[in-house]
Order: sequence, then structure tokens, then C-alpha cells
Amino acid sequence: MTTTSSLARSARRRAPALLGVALFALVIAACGSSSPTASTSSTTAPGASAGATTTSTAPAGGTSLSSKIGALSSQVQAAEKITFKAVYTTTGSGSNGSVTIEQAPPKSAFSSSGGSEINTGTASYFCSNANGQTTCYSAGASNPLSALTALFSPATALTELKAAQAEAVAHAAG
Amino acid sequence: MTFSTASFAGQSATCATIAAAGKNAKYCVTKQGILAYEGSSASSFTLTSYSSSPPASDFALPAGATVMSIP
Repeated sequence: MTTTSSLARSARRRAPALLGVALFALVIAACGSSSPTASTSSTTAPGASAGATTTSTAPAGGTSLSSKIGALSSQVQAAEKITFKAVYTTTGSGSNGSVTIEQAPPKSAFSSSGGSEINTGTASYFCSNANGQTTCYSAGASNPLSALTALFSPATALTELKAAQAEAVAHAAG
Repeated sequence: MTFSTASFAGQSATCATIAAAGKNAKYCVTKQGILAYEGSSASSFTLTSYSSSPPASDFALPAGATVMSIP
């Protein structure tokens, strides 16, 4: 089973070396931190007190696990077509930061405090700001930083879940 | 593997927690299919703000930007 750290390593391997490493460094080294606003839970299960997190344990390799991962997969696939702006705080490697992911298909954007990747729908750019001057590097129609954007993709997380499911099935089968 | 629900930036999310072989990881996805949380003991990404209507200007090059082509 892989962890978030291995997810990050995997994404970095897939990213084009120069721009990939540059933007990942921006993400990790982004200045400023804020406290996560996560809270448990907005959903109240029957019999549970308001605000309680509902938790269930899926049997290893069972159909319940498959159906729940399948449901998540459907949600993730639907998200490929929606318009949204999501801001994340990141922690790790001794530093905290913030990144923003936006999409309005076919347009998308990924930004941190030090730079951004913008896909206008027809072309992709990596933009950085130095000494008050913004410079954007055109990457044509391709998106060289898609692997980094994928780092925050639920599809990537889903891949991890499916890998965990496969491992559970293999373990159950002996 | 356990499943739970949580709220991030006002968005309800389904979370899956994996704990095996001394490793722990948690992934949360909102009902819209957006990644809400991904974390382990070493690092984490947490959704802190969400909007379904980003400004169009966010998908345009910054005003006054110098554009260069990568060979």
C-alpha cells in the first residue's frame, strides 16, 4: 500500500523534470500557514448524535468495500466536468502552504504563492512572478504540469483506494 | 479500511481511512467529487475553501505578463 508521501513521489516522477520540480517546490515551500477548517461531521446517521462522524468498517475484500469505492469512483468521474475553485492548505516536510485548483472545462488553473499553471482551454502556461514582473511560459496545447495537478486529484486518491482494495482481496484469499 | 463522513469548507465528504502494515492514510471526497482531504502522519492536503463559480479572470494570463515559448 502506498501513502501520501509515495503519491507525491509518484506524481513528481510523472512530471516533466524542470517545470515539475519547480512547481512542486513552490507548492511545498509556499509561505504562510493556516489552520485546517475541517470538522466532523455534517452528516448525522440514524441513532447518532448531531455532529458525530459516522464510521463504518468494510470487510476486507467484501462487496461492501467494492460498492463504496465504486460510489466514490462515480463521484470522482462526475467531477471531471464540473466548474469549481478549491483552496487547500498543505503540510509536510516541515513547511505549510496553500494551493488553489480551479476548473471550468476545458479551462483549468493550479496556483501557489510562487507561481501558477493556467490552461486557457487552448494553451497551457506556467507563470511566475519575480521583482514585480510576471513571466508566463507557453507550453502549447499540452499540459506539462498535469501530473502535479493530479497530485490533488481525487482520481489519484481513488487509485490508492482501489490498490488497497486489491491488497485486501489478495490478503483475504490467502 | 473504514469509511466515515466529515465536512470540509462547508462541503460534506466521504472519507476512507486505510490502516495496514503500520501505515495510515486517509482520503476524503466531497459529494461533488472534489478531493477534500488527503493525509498521512507525514503530510496532508486539506480543503479550506470551495466555490462552484470561479472568476473567469482566473483562467486568463495575468495582465501585463510577458509570454515566452518553451522551445
